[in-house]
Amino acid sequence: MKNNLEADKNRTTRRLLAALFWLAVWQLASMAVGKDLILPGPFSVLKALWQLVRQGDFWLSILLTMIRIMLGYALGVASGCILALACCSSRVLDSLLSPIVRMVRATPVASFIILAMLWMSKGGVPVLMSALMVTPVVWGNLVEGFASRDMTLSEMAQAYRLGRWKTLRFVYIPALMSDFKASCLTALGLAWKSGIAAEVLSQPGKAIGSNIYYSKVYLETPELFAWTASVIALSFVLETVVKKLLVKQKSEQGGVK
Amino acid sequence: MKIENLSFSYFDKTIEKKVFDSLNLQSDSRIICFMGHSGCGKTTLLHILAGLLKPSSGTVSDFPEKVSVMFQEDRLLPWLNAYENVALVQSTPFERWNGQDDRASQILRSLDIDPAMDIGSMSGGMKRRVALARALVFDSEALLLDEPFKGMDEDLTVRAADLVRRQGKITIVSTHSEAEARALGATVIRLS
Repeated sequence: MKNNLEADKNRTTRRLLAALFWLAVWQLASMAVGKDLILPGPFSVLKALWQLVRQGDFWLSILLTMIRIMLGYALGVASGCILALACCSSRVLDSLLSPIVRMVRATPVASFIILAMLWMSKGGVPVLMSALMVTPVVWGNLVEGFASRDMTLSEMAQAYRLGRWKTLRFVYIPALMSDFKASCLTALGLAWKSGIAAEVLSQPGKAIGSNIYYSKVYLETPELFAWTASVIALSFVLETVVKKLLVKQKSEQGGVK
Repeated sequence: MKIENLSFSYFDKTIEKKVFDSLNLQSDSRIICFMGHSGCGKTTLLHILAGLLKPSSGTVSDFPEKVSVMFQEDRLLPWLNAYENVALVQSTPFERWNGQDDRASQILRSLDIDPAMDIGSMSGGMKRRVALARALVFDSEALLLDEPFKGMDEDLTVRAADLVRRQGKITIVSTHSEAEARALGATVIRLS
C-alpha cells in the first residue's frame, strides 16, 4: 500500500517535471522567435484563454461542439457495429459492404467535408464527419476480431444447438468485447479531430472549429493556441470518461465481457 | 450403432492422411468405449458420430441424431461461471446464476463443483467436470464423451462414471484407461 502510494507520487512528480520542461522549451522558442503572431509563449496563451473562459460564448461553443462530435461518435459506433454484424453474418453482405467501408476509411476527411458542405446544413457536417471516421475503425476491429475468433467455441455452440441468438449473445459478443473497447478508444480521438476539422471548414455558428478559423483570419495567434489547448483538454477529459465507463462495465459484468 | 465402409482422410498441406479406410463396426451395447493409441482416430470417430465431421465415404446408421458432445478440450466460456456454462445448453430459457436449485446446479454439486465458481479459478479436473455436467444436462438421446474423466482422481471417476451410467442414454466414450471402461461397465472396442 505504502509502496503504491510512493510509486503514484513519483509518477506524478515525473509527469509534472516533464510538463515544466516542455513549457520552458516552448517559452524559450517563443522568446527566440520574438513575435506573438508567429509563436506566442505560454503566458500569452494563458492570458488569451483567461479572456475566453470569461465569455459565455466560449462555453456555448464548447457545449455545441461536444454535442455534435459525441452525436457523430455514437452514430459511428452504432453503424460500425451494425455493419460488422451484417458482414460477419452473410458473405453476400460482406462482399457488398466491405469495399464501401474500406473506401470510406481510405478517403481523406477533407474530401468528405467539402462534399458534405454541398449536401447538408453546416451543423450536420461535423456530426457526419465524426461518424464517418468512427464507423470504419469500429467495423474493422470487430470484423478482424470475429475472423480470429476461437473456432472450437463456435463448434461447441453448433454441437449444443445454441441457435443464432444465444451464440451471438453468449459466445461471440463477450469474445469481441476487448476488440470493441479498443476500437471505441481509438475512434474517440479520430471523432474529435475530424469533427473539429469539419467545424473549421464548415463554420457552423457557435463552435470551437469556427473560433479556430476566425482566430486564424484575424491573426489572433494566442487565441488560436488557446482554442487548441481547450480542444486538447476536452479530448483528455472525454477519453478519461470513456475509459472509466468501459472499465466500469467490465467490473460490473465480472470479467471480460 | 452400425458403421459401414467408413473412410475418412484429412489433408496436412497437400498430403492426404487416411484416418479410416473402410471401417466396419456394429454393436448393440448401450455403453461403448473406444480405446487405442493416440492418433488412432478415436476423437475423429466421435466427431463423425456427432455430425461435426463428414466422412469421405460410408454410412453411420442406427444412431441418434441429437447427441451431447463432451470435447477433448473443455471448451467452456470463461466469461460465464460454472452454472451458467451448464445451464446455457438447457432447452429452458437461460438465466444467470441466482442460487437456483435445478438440474444444472444439482449435477454440478454431485460432481463436487460449486455452481457459482468462476471458470478462470478452476483446475483442469474441475473444468472437466463442468464440461461433463454440460454434456449431461443437454437434452439428447446419446452421449459422446472424449476422455471425460481426464484429471479426476479414482473416487471422482467412479462417481462421475456412475452418473453417466444412470442417464440411461446410448454412450460412446473415448479413453485410454481400462479402469474407466470398467467403471462405466462399457463394451470396449479397440481401434488401431
